[in-house]
Amino acid sequence: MRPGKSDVFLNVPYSASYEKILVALTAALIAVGSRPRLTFEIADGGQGRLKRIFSLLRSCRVSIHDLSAVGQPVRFNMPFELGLACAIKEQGDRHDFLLLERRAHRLDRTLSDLKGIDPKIHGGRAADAIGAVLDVLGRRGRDVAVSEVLPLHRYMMRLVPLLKRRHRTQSLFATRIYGELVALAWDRAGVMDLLPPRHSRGD
Amino acid sequence: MADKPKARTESGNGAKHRGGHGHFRHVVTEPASFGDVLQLGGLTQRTFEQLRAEVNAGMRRQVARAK
Repeated sequence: MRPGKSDVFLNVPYSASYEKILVALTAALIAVGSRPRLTFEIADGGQGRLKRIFSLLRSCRVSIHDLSAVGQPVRFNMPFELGLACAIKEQGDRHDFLLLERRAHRLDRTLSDLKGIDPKIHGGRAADAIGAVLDVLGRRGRDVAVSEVLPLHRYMMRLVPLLKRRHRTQSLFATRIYGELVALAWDRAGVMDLLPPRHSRGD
Repeated sequence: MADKPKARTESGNGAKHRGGHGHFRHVVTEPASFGDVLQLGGLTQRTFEQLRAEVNAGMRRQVARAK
C-alpha cells in the first residue's frame, strides 16, 4: 500500500477491551482526514517484519502510542515501537508522536526516560480519547469538536458486531475487518459533513 | 502550521492535559482521499458499495429486532 501524507501510525494494545478506544481514535482521525495505519497490515513473522514496521512508522507524519497495557501478559511491542518513533524524530525526520495513557502519572513510573513528555489521559473513555487526538491533530478550515465526532463513534460501534459476524471473527484487529470499518465510517463521515471539505464519497 | 487550538473536550480532559504536553506541535496533515482509504481494507469502489448495502441491511434488521 502506498504511504499517504495523511497517514497516522496507531501503536495500541490489540485486545478486545481496547476496541472502544481504537474506534474512538479512528473516528477522530477520520474527522481530520487522516488515514490510520496499524502493524496488523504487516504479515506476521519473517525477517523483514521489523524493517517493514520501521518503514510504515517512518512513512507516517504522526504516530500515536498508547502505553496503557501494563498488565499480563507482558507485551513489549508498544514501548518498542515508541522507541522507534523517538529514534525517527531524533534523527531529524519530520515526525511527531502523541503519548496516551489510561491513568495519570503512571507513565512516570513505567517509562521514566520520557519524563517531561506528558501523555494525554483518556481514562478508558471514548470522548477523552477523541479529545486527545483533536487537541494535537487538526484540519484546514475549522476545528472539529468532540461532540461532532461522538455520533460517528457510535455509528462505528454499531458496525463492529455486524462486521465481526460477516468475517466470523471476534477480533477487530485484522486488516480486512478494520479496513472495512474505516471505509464505512469515512463514507458516513461524508454524509455527516464531517470530512475536510475537499472530500466527498467516492472521491 | 496552525496555532494550537483551544481544548475541545467537553469533559475538560483536553484542557487539563494540553498545557503539559509540550512535545507535540498542532499538526494539520493533507487529507486522504477515499481511494486511499479503500486500500486499507483491500476494497474497490464496487466491493465497497456491496459491503455498504450489506451492512445497511444488517443495521435495518438490528433496528427491526429492537422494536
